[in-house]
Amino acid sequence: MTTSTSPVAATSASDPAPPLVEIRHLVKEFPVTAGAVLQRKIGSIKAVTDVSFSIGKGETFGLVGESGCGKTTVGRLLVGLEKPTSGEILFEGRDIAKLSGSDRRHQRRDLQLVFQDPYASLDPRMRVGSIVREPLNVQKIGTREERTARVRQLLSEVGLSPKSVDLYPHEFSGGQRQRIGLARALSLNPKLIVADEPVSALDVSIRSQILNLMNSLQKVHGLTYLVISHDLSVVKYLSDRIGVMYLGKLVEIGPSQAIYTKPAHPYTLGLINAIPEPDPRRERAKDVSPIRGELPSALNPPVGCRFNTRCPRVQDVCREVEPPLRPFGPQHLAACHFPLQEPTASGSAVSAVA
Amino acid sequence: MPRDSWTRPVYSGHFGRAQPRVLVRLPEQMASLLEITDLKTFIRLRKGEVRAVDGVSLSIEAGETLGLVGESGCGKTMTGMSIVQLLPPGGYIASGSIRLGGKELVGLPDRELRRVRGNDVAVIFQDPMTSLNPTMQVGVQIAESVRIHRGASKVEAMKRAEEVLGLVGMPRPKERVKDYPHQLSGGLRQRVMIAMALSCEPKLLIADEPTTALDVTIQLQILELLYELKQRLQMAVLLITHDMGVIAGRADRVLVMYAGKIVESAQTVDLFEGTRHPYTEALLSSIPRMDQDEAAPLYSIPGIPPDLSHPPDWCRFQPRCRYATTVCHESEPLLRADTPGHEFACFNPVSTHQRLDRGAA
Repeated sequence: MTTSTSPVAATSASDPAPPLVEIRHLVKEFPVTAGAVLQRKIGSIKAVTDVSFSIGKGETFGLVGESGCGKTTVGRLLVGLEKPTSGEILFEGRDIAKLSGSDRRHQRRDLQLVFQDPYASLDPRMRVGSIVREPLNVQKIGTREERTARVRQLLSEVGLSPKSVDLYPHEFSGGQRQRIGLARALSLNPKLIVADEPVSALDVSIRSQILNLMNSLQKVHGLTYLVISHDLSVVKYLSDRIGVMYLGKLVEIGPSQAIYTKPAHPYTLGLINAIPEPDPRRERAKDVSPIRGELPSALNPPVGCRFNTRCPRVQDVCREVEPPLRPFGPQHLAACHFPLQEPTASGSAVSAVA
Repeated sequence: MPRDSWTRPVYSGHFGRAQPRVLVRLPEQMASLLEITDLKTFIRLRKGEVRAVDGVSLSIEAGETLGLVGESGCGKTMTGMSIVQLLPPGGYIASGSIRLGGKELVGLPDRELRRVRGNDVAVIFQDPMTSLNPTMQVGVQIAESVRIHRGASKVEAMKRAEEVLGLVGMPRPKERVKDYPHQLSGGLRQRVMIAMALSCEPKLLIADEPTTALDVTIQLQILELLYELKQRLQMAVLLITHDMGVIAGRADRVLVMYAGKIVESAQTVDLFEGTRHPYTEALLSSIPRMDQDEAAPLYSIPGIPPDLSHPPDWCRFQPRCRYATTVCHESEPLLRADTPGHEFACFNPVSTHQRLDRGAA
């Protein structure tokens, strides 16, 4: 267990290897314009605000939160589908957000994304073989024959028959399509895969197949995962560490077990309590009131702590001052003025960057 | 439009019971509110006829919450939609009986069905964005239901809409009645849909995946709201969902459906703690639970459900079942019970000794 309390340091203090990914003060704002002829900016959606965390090699980091929290945007920023408004994304020590052109293209091999919707993320007019092959073509890897062999191998690795190459996506079920997405993501031998809602669109009994597959692929290939989901049970199952996001901010981060057994942030607790467990006695014994209210607008997030409009523990200071991230245990941080447990350090703000 | 005996306004802020319905009465004390007998609902498609609901029987008592659980394609939604006969193109009730308060709904002419829908039985759907009219203010949509079923005037109906919106926890209902659906978040839209459904105080609410599209914290709000309203209105609820957690917390009894049939039926606690059908057991074992050991792999059900345009004459779960024996491939098991109130359709039911351990391959 590391003694460092920074959310950035994922590896132990004595381990010389730096984390695979370091996200520092990441900000992403989407401008909102109005006007039919002359588009003028009337505001911006603060999708991601000052988010910092790191992911160690071989680790699975889970990002959880509800709609509008910014977790999908973080995933897209990491793989380069969006450019940050500010902040750094360090991959193996290099800021990849600043890359462009052929450097960028080359770097894309290491970071791949499995998309949310297995029904929308595969081109319905391409055969599965071409879909899985496409990254190899774009990156010009291998000869034609080598690519064909690689596609066959990838498909069998994800549990699909080699005959799948000639079929179209619509001939497959949701679970199978997700496997195709995984095969495509693996084709470039990436170091890290961002899995955005990997099982949400799938039937309950199919989810376990994909979750088991993701775990075994990780062991075989030494993959690092960033798993993004609103479903805390899925995230907890897959992840070593979890980051909880709310309205663009990281409110709590820590090892999965700690987050579940000793959450420090009231929102995290609210999230955990809201998850219906398949256990009637426990469910009926739950004496928790739901988190009231609705998500505020990301155009004008609340001043101070963004959770103050819905927090059962809110006080005046929460509406004025934004709480800093403070340590609550090894690698466990939360940003709250009135957390559910005592912080371990003297309570002073911890710099998010080591 | 026949006017109901609804002269006394019920808008006083509490949901008193309205006057008795013209249409539906409960004659004897012993009759269930809803009684479905051997329902078969098929869908005519080009490739053949899909036997989406293939012999389903169930009953719901007044004030009870019955959970109907299963995965996509099992027939749970079609069962619910058959009650109000909101079937997709090609869908039809091939045989069977659906009695609401003793009155047979199958074969009822459209005009009479329309009186039942919204009035005696209301439905809320999964995705409020596609179920609400995007071009109408939400207040008008709720009022529309009240005007059609109760013959209220525009003004009365709008007042009612405001009142009902307040009842479902909509903040600032007087202003919100003028909103359009796209101006509201998912949770608020669902509240509008619930308001619409409850505006005529139905005896039975069919909730088809009511919270699946919502954030989990909003889901809890909505489920709590439905529970409160159900208690207050003494309404029965048919809760259709794939989420075993929601069922565990909210249903009094549960029916598990697979491939168009009911495979297990029990009180909720009995279903989870004394599971008899292998499919139910497999389903429960495949769900990641917050308190479980993450290193253990989840159970995966091999194979896929059968093609319901050509269902087999033997157990439909057989090809995927851990416990299948020869008899399972020869004939179809019928629902039976070892203990009262707990039925299952299986030749080799799970006994307490055979419980699948977490982590078993």
